[in-house]
Parts: sequence; C-alpha cells; structure tokens
Amino acid sequence: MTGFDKDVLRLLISELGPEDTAEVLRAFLDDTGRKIAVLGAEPPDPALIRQEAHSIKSSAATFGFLELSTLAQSLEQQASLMRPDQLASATATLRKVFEQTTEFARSVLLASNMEIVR
Amino acid sequence: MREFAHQTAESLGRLLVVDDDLVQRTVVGKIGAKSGYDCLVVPSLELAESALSREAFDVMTVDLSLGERDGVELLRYVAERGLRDMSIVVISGCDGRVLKSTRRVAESLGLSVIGALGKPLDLDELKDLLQLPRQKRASADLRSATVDVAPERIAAGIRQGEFVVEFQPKVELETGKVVGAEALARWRTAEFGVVSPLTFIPIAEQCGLMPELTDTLLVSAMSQGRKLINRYPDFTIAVNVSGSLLSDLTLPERIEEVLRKEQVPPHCLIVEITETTAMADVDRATDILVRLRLKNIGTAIDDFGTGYSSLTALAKLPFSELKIDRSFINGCEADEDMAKIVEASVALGHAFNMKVVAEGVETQETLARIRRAGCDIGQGYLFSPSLRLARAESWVSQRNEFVSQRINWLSQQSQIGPGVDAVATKIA
Repeated sequence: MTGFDKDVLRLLISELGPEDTAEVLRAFLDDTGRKIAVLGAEPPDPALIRQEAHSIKSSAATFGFLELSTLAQSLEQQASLMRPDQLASATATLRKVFEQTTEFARSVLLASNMEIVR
Repeated sequence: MREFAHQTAESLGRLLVVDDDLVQRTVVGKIGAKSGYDCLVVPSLELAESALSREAFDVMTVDLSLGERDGVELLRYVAERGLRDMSIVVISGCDGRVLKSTRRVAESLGLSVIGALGKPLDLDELKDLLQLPRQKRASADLRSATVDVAPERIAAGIRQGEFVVEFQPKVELETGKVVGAEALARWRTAEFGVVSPLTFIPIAEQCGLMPELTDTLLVSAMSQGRKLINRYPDFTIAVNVSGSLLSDLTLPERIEEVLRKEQVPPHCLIVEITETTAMADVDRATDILVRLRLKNIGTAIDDFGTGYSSLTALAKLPFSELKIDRSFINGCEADEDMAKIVEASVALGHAFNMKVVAEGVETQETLARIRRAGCDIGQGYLFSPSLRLARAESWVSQRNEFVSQRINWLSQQSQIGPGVDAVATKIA
C-alpha cells in the first residue's frame, strides 16, 4: 500500500504488543468510519469538518497511514476557505483513501500476530 | 470511560488520561499501563473534572483540544482545586508555539508540568515522561525542609559578618578570557548551614534590611575582589543592587566611599540593578545612575527580558551592560523562539552601546548559539559555578594562562596570525 510508513506501525506493535495494537486499530477503523460518514452530511459544515479532520490527521499518523493523515491535514487547514462543492469533493477523496486504508488494515488484522508488517 | 490496570510488578500510582480522540487516549492509556500506572481514560473535560473531584491522581495527560472545550480550562480547574502535586503532561496537535505557551500558562498557575508532547505522539518520549514523576518523588523525599528565618536573625547575621560573597566568573566569548566576576551573596549560619539568597533576600526586602545588607555585601565584594583586580587591571566585579534602593540619592557617594577605602578603581565595579520595576521614582534612579557613570562606575541591567526588568528602564537609564536573563539563554539552541529573543536583546544592547552578557550558560550547545547570536560575555555553570575567593583566584589564573598560551601558540603556527574566533572556539 502506498502512503504507509511500516516503521510507525512496527514501533506501535513493539510498544503495545500485537493484541493491543489490533484492538486500537479496530477502534480507529470504527471511529474514523463514523467520522467520515458525518463529514458527508449535506450541507457541509466547515467547522465540524475542520475538527474531525484534525482528529483523523493525528490518529491516522499514529498507525503510519500517512496519505490519509496528510489529506486530513490539508482539509483541516483549508476547510474554512472552501466552497461547499470543494468541501464535498475533498471529503469524498478522504472517504476513498480511508476505504483503501481500511482494506489494507483488515489484511494486517487478519494476518496472525500482524506478521505482514513485522 | 475505561480503566487499564498496571502491567508491571508494582504500581507507580494513578494516571488520568484526558483526550477526546478515541485512538489517542487508548494508546496513551495502554502505554501508561505498561509503564506501571493504573489508568483512568476519559474523553471529555466534564468527565475529567468529575474524576478529579472524586479521587487523587499522580499524573494526568491532557490533550489541549477537547472538542468544544479546551485543555486550558481543565488546567485552570486543576489549579483551582489546588492539585499542585499532580504531574501533568500536555499534548497537542497544534503547532509548537501553542504547546509551549500552554506549558507556561500551566506553570504560571503553579502546576507541575513535566512535559509537552506534539502529535503524532512520540511513544518513547511519552514513556520517558511517565517515568519522571517517580524520580521527582524520590528527590522530593531528599529535599530538606525550607528554612524559616526571622528578620531579627538576618539583622544579627549582618552584624556578625555571616553574609559573605562568592564569585562567579564572566568569560569574554571572543577570546575566552575571564574579564570579570559577579559577587553573589551567601549567608553562612551555624544553625541552618548556607542559606540561599532566594530565601533571605525577600525577607530582607520586606523588613527594610536591604540597604544594610547591600552595603555589607559591597564592602565584602570589594575587599575580597581587590585581589583579582590587582592582578588583572581591567577585571570587573559586579555587585547586585535592588531597584528599590535607587531612591536614596546618597548611594553614589556611599559606593564611592567604599571604593576609596578598599582602594578599588571605579571602572572595576559594575553595579547590577535587579528588579528595575521596583524603582519607585525613575527620575531619582536616573540621577543616581548618571552620577555612578560620571564617576566611571559601570551599571548593568539584570534579568533583562523578565517581568523584573523593563524596556522602559533600558531606554531611560544609562546602563553600560545588559544581562539577558537565564530563562532565555538556557536551552535557546533548541528553541527558536528563545533564540530570537536573545538575538533581539543583543541587537538592543548593542544599539545602546552596551556590553551584552548571557547568564545561565550551561552547555556547549548553548554557548555555540549565544556566540552566534553575538553575545559579548558568558556566565554560567559551563564555565564555573560561584567560587570562594581562593578558588576563584586560581580558576581565573589557570584559565587566563591557558588562553594566552593558546593565543601565542596559534600565532606562532601562522604568520598571518589566528582569527580570534578560531581561538575562542577551541578554548570554550
């Protein structure tokens, strides 16, 4: 997967162990899924988008999901300057990258002891 | 709200994790548990407040952005409840400046902030910070009880000659030479041992003993410092005088009298004015400082940049030396904000034709940075702590001997002669 820093996840696993990391990763997928669903609401709410993007930025970076994190960061910085149609398209891109991230994360979770990244 | 029990043999205590981000707080809670804490993890300011009202925590980590509310409100709540023993780690995804300012807010509230972390979290840094409170507790146990001194005891100490000075060397950065020393007050008592100025100065200020104490210290600094001055003709000894004393118009004559008695040339004394904001009357202070300068006595503005020392004082009063407060110097090599203050202070000082002194130089890295910023003189533990006269004499003589040998050697090596900077870099 592109835009993923394996070392970050590897470090997290070495600190928390595979089981706890898996638990946190699942929580991330659920939580971010909920947030991204909220972001798609019509009409887009720039303040809400900024706040949720801020949170996605940090938590995605915790696992090394850099593409998702960078995208969330630019959305956080620019949300208040964007027109509604720009916001809608930016949140759609974020959703797409999150879906790719989710697919990859599930493959990591399925591998025993997260061996894929170790 | 979740609990994580400690996963080590013994518990380090209770850790409260406050973060509105699910992933973040779970990671912090789990790291806390693996580090040995019993953790309570909460997602909001309200739940944090209710937890803090119910039980005591040894450590709290708090994310500054807590949804609608923010972490600073929580810090204020902690201060209001007087929870000053709890160690606090602040976390934020905002830029470093916000984080640093928040840390200062917390410190000004009297809270014990042990660290500030950016996001994404550096897990190793977090683990290191979580080990700190234990070390802090250990050192707190060793700390002796604070001394409670009556004003009469200070007055008696002055009469009995218990107040003495030690000398902290000041080094010229261009050459590495020792060009002077600051005389620092020490109080040697039989019953409390050596008492810190931080303890006795405020008491002496409160009960009007500062004029007497200052005179005593000035006499002691001159009679002892004369040995250094005789050996190095341009050596200066700095003596601290509180801004609150700059209303006594006889001060210049009193100082001159001491110089005459102790046979010290006026240009070898620098009067360092501390707490310029305590000056009751700027016109009188100006009068006094101008007369000191006319007598060829040096004047320095101390603790420059802090609340005790103002730009007004710098602009209006005739100082010959500016001493940048240690709080800006210490660690300025790693903190661009502080380095900017240092550089601006150097520019200000030089614009007023003053020598600029950096106080609190403790590492080689700091030294390199203040040299780059253009400071003229350095003072601090990297060079030497304050020393009693005999040790100060031998320290200064050894260092200056070494510097001159080095300069001779280098000029022999090269016909063109060494760049002085190159010499200095090799020495300090």
